[in-house]
Amino acid sequence: MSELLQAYQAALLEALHDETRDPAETIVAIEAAAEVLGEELGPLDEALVDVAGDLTRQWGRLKPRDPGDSQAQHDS
Amino acid sequence: MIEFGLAVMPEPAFAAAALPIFEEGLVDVIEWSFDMGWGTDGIPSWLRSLLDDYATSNDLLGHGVSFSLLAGEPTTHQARWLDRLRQETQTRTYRHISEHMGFIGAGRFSFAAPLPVPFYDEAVRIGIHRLNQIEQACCLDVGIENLATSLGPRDASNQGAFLTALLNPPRSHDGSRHPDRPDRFLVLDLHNVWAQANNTAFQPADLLDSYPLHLVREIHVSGGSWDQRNDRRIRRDTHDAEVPTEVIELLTTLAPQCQNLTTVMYERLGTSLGQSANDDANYRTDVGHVASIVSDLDGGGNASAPPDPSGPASPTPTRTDPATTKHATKSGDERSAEG
Repeated sequence: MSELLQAYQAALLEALHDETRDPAETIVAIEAAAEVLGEELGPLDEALVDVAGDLTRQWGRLKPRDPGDSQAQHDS
Repeated sequence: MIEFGLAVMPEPAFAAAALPIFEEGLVDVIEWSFDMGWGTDGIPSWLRSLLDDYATSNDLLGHGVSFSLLAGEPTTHQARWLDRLRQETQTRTYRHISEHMGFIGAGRFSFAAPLPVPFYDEAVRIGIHRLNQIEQACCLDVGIENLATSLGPRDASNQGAFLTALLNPPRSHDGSRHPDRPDRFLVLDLHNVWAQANNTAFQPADLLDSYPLHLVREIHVSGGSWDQRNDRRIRRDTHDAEVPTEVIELLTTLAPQCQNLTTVMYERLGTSLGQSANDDANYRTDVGHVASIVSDLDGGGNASAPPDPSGPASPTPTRTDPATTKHATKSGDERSAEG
């Protein structure tokens, strides 16, 4: 398995989830996250990143804060 | 013969809207997202009976939504998912199992709408390993559905080649089935292709040129919605409306090219039904329309034909201007459809 891919995916979700950034800033954050992979993402699209951010905020669920917390924290 | 199928949902509104469709005998097979039934709410008794009925005649197709095929690291959720799948397929007979491209969680996030992963060797290796895990858990053929979401044009232009690499058909040179491994197959969601093409300014045909159409066993059709972002209209795969004309046109064009196509599946979220008197009537009319088109498909797909081992024609699409019934009379969690 790949810790690097996992790190990229976690950073991507964090970037999309952060509603304080505008889409251009989110793209900068995603591209920075992808550097760990050593792979080119190609040009990212502000409108598509913006929609993906909405989706992540709408559907994203956080892990339980501790093992005794059986109910995942819904963040929206 | 190409079968017509309906994705079934646990909501009472779906049961009310779809019952006449089953009574008409239009539905040859059903699709069930089995992991939606693993929550504390379980599934309603009418749905359990429907699943058991179709399972008895091997007309139940399993379609997972929460495994996270391309997650970088294995998770406890995936281990539990595989255990539950093993139990599910021992309890009820499924014809085959499919999941979605992409990943749904990492870091602090246990779940999100499925997102694309860059196409590179390590991601392919991980995806093949996960497909093997699913296959070992259920002892059935395993397939993948193409993703609708993209963050940029490369996610769209690479997806056909990515799917081909993941499915990597285990066939001998003469097209016969490998003796030790079940088949892998593609679930080709045409609304996803159409949405992705619209959002990245490709033509659907250009994207589809790189898809392994010879591996398509199921085609999915559904509706969606538009999201306005400044001067752009972004197509979203929300499964809450009738199937667009453009997707119907893709169906009639593509189906004859998919030599191993067995099923066309109609998908609609139960939460989008029953909200007005017209919702259910429009849904039934649309389902009937697609079912009639499927019945008219004239042999482009042939479930009994030997598999075609030939590969995709063109690996790299070119972008355009970016501005731009054997089951007659049957009784009849919230889910993110965007995939």
